[in-house]
Amino acid sequence: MTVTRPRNASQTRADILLAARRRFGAEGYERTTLRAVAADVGVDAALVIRYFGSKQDLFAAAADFSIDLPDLSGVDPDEVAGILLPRFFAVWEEDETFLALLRAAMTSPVAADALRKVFATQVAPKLITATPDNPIQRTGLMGAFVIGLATTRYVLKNPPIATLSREELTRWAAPVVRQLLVGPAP
Amino acid sequence: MATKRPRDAAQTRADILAAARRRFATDGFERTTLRAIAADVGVDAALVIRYFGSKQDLFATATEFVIELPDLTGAAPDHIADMLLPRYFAVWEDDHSFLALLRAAMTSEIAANTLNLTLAKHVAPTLTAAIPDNHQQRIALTDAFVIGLAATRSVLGDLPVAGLSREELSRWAAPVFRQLLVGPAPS
Repeated sequence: MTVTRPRNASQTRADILLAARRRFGAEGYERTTLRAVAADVGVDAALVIRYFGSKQDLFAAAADFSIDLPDLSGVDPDEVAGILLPRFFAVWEEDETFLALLRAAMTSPVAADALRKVFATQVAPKLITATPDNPIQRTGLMGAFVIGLATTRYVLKNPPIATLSREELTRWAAPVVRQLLVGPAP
Repeated sequence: MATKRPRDAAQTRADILAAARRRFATDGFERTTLRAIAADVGVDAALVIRYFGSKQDLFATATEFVIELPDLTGAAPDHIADMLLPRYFAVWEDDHSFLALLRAAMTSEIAANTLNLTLAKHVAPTLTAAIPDNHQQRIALTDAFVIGLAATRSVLGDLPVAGLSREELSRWAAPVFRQLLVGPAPS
């Protein structure tokens, strides 16, 4: 039996999350209101609160994403970039969550905290499995490189990088990933 | 003769620019109003317009930053990072115009275009002098790396890279600059 109502609860939840990502991404954390998110979906703010709680709870739910990085222990140094880069592309290109979080993080301490948590709990521990030494330096610079790629290509749309094909970008990013994670310590 | 008024025109201009940088950085380009900036400084919006013109003119003035990069023609590949990084640090860490522009650029196409234009006009020509081939790719990835370092060190805060000293960061960034600008083109 198909649902004939235009909306059901799970669809409404998904719509609210999508609207929240757009608002947090475009306006930042501080200026986004539950009322505006609710209005975008055509529901009452009380419903948003019932489903998600406070604005901070809604942000946490909207910016919650998982990046599935594999354990890199024992991986051939020449293979590390080839394993990692497609996972990063997937996060950047296949859902709006990461870019919304990145945009919001540049102007909001709450969002910056959320981004740091993602890095500390999901990204750094996996990157560290590839590093032979100096884990702070290696994962720190790798994090900067990845944030820089995402920022210039997808947010700023800086022409030199935004117009590169994925293959071309991967080819040029690979030696950097290799150097930062497993290359000789300078 | 020293002026006795609490404010003179030059001070007011400077105050307006500082307030504009704060507003553009936190509120973004679209939502910032000349009226709000004027109120921050305690002057009339008409005065802001008289001094700086339209909102877009004010934005351009407030976020105009100078990056003075050295001539890299003939530079030894191993020295390029040491030549560039102190100049980059001066912009990321000591210049509020750039950080205001970077923050505003995250949510505004106009601000993003301003930043992209600055990279194209003031950074790319210098980098080009060091580059043997594949100009677009090398410049694209170098810009990405630099913006990533600036964002993670000066905007996002408290990521591991923010805790590194400039010397430590330079040591680790050097091989990346070397590879991206003058290293062998990847196969």
